[in-house]
Amino acid sequence: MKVRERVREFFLPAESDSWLTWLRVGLGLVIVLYTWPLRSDWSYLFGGSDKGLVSRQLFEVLLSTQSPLIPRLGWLVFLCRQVGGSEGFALSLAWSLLFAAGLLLLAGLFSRPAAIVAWLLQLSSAKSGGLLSYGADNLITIGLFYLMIAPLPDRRSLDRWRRPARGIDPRMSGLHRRVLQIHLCFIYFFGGLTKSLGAGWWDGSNLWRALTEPPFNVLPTNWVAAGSALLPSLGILVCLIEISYAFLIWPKWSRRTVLFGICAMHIAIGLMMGMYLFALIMLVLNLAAFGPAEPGQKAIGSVATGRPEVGAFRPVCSRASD
Amino acid sequence: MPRRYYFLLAWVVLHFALVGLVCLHETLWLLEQRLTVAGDTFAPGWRALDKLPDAILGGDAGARNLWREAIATYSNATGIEVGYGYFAPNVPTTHALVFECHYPDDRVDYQTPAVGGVEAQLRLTSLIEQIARSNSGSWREELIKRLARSTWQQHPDATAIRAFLGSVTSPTAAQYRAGRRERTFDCLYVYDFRRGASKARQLAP
Repeated sequence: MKVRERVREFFLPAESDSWLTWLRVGLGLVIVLYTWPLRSDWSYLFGGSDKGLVSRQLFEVLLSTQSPLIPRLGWLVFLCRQVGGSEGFALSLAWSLLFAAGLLLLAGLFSRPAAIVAWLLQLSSAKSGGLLSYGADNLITIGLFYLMIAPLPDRRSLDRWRRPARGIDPRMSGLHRRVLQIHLCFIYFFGGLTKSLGAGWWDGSNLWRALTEPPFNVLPTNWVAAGSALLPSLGILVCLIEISYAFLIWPKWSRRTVLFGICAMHIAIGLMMGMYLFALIMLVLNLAAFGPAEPGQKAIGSVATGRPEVGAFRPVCSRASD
Repeated sequence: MPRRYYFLLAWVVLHFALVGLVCLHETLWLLEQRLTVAGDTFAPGWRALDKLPDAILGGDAGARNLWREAIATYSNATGIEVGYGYFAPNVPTTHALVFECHYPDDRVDYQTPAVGGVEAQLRLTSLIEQIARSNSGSWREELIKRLARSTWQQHPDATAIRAFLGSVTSPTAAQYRAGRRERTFDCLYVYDFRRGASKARQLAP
């Protein structure tokens, strides 16, 4: 096979849109679980100089030093003030719209507009939050960005039920899934590489600290102490799983094991460190990228088998060789 | 192959080139800061290697450089402006911020910055960690002043607030097994706030 064809086969595999259903529903759930717990703190976290915990304006001024074009909640506050609305109203509107976008994504109703609104408002809140943001915010932004540009609506959305005639280009679906897959490989490879550069991941001390220091000390410390002999092995295992993910997630023989291992790691992070949102977004991204393409299928197979798994859908365009 | 696929493939290549550069830049920064097991080994070399990704990402460019702003806008919009070294290379030292509120009747009580839910608490923790790790004294003081003001709003009868920012050291696994349970708070900075004035003291270099 020529290089050009191999590149095409890799980047443009024909895929069903089942992965997109995972991504849409998963991100809808993430957005709902992102906004709902913050409902009572929202105005306090993102409020201005007079009412906020720190000051949204302070972080937005810093953001402007990077670029004045990065979306922020201050834009919505400004627009609301033009029509007589207060800052509090603008922040409540942002929360309500983001929550509604999450629900719409869950249902698959107005999928594209909901994805755009969710991306814009989540990004704005993460950027206006400044130092109040953490890793989960970046990962949610990544997921929403890919969802926003993906070939929506997917087959299982209410949008498709409303407009059943619309089809999906399986190669376009495959390209977008491939982008998500490659991005996850970057995330884990560099995450594992930087961890393995720290001595604490080799002797178990990093896992001990991660599990016993507030606010991540969900487990009783005596439980962690009881299993402390395992911590060095688990620390090394975390590094190995993350670094090897980029290579072993592709071959068919290792994909299920790696996917299971990485999902187990994220479930453990969620349960043992209380980082539920972080765990959920990583599970969603992994299952969308490498999870079963159709109910009953074990995992995607277009790379390993060299044949597209189009599943039970009717492609709009077909391969030239078909 | 339709032409739009070529455009999309070009975007994919550029997008992941940027992702790779950001990740590489972060990894090389950790190495040149001697935060890894590599220690001082080859530190000037890491710095030299980092010049390329840093230059492409616009690190040396001026404040209103169009290239730097374009890269920043795109990378922030796509969520790729930072690398993925979560809890890496090591789990950092935990910090805490405690406010000592003084009242007119000489009463004193202790408060910590408070938010409602668990998710908001994670964000507050992230804020305090980044305040503590800041190299800028004035930036640190400004942020603590704002947090103190929020606490003041919840305790309006307080006449003065003294803020203690320090590191919290938990027992290691071996110390815990030997019977040590308590965490120690090592105060790094003290800030005195009165209505309309503030004064900072650094306790440790």
